[in-house]
Amino acid sequence: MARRFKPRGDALVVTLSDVEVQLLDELPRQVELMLTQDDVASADPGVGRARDRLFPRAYLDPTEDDASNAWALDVQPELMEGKLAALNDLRASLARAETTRKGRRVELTPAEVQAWLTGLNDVRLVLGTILEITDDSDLEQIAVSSSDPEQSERAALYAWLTWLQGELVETLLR
Amino acid sequence: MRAEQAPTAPTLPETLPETEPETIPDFVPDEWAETDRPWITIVWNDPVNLMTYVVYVFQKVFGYSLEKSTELMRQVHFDGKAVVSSGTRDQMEIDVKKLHAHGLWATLQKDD
Repeated sequence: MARRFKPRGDALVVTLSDVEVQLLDELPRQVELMLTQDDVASADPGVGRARDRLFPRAYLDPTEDDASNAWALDVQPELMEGKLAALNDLRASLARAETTRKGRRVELTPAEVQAWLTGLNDVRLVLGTILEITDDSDLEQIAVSSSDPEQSERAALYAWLTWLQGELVETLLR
Repeated sequence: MRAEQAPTAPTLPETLPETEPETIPDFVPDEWAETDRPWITIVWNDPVNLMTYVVYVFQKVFGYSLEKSTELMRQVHFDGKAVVSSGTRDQMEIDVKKLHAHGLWATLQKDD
């Protein structure tokens, strides 16, 4: 398949299928809900772990609890705002997708590219945490053998997002 | 590398002072060492973040070269962690914030 991200001046043109556009709207929206609705987080321990992963402690040392809590109070509202803005900007950019012969096409501004980068990464961190991914995790194994169809679906989505984010980063590093 | 001028030998006093100075120097070595000891930011390995993404973030957040960013990423990946910056506690708190904004798992601590 052709490259998904192509530089055009400062911008990056991304080409997606209809299903991909739909998923890139739906998944960030779900993460927004996980981050903003406390009842969603408390009902599902996986979501609680995912929140902890997106907002880790700044200090490991337990004797620095005070500093760690002060830092969190000071900084985390701003971090939350940034993450929600990125997820929102990612979704908003897709509203401009034009239908072409090769698929749905959007030209992303440099600011939107950054929103895609951190937004896709945060969605992957959430899915990866809920799936309890480890360095040796075999995604195919999770997708095929999990008795929970939701876990199988998450594993497939995670694999696809990993590939898509990889394409984006490779384009930027080139 | 920048060319340096050859150092000139310091001139030694011809005679040693006859008595020790009575005043104690202003700085206390132990205290000085305590405040001078830098704080460090550590990035920890995690199974989700892509290696290429981590390299990209080091370049963007710290302005490190591709080579330095790649070396730090390899340390994180193979050793489990890497010290990515050092400075005052306040500076390290800012670095940790930037890294968390990018989804990296980072903490700060006093350098041992």
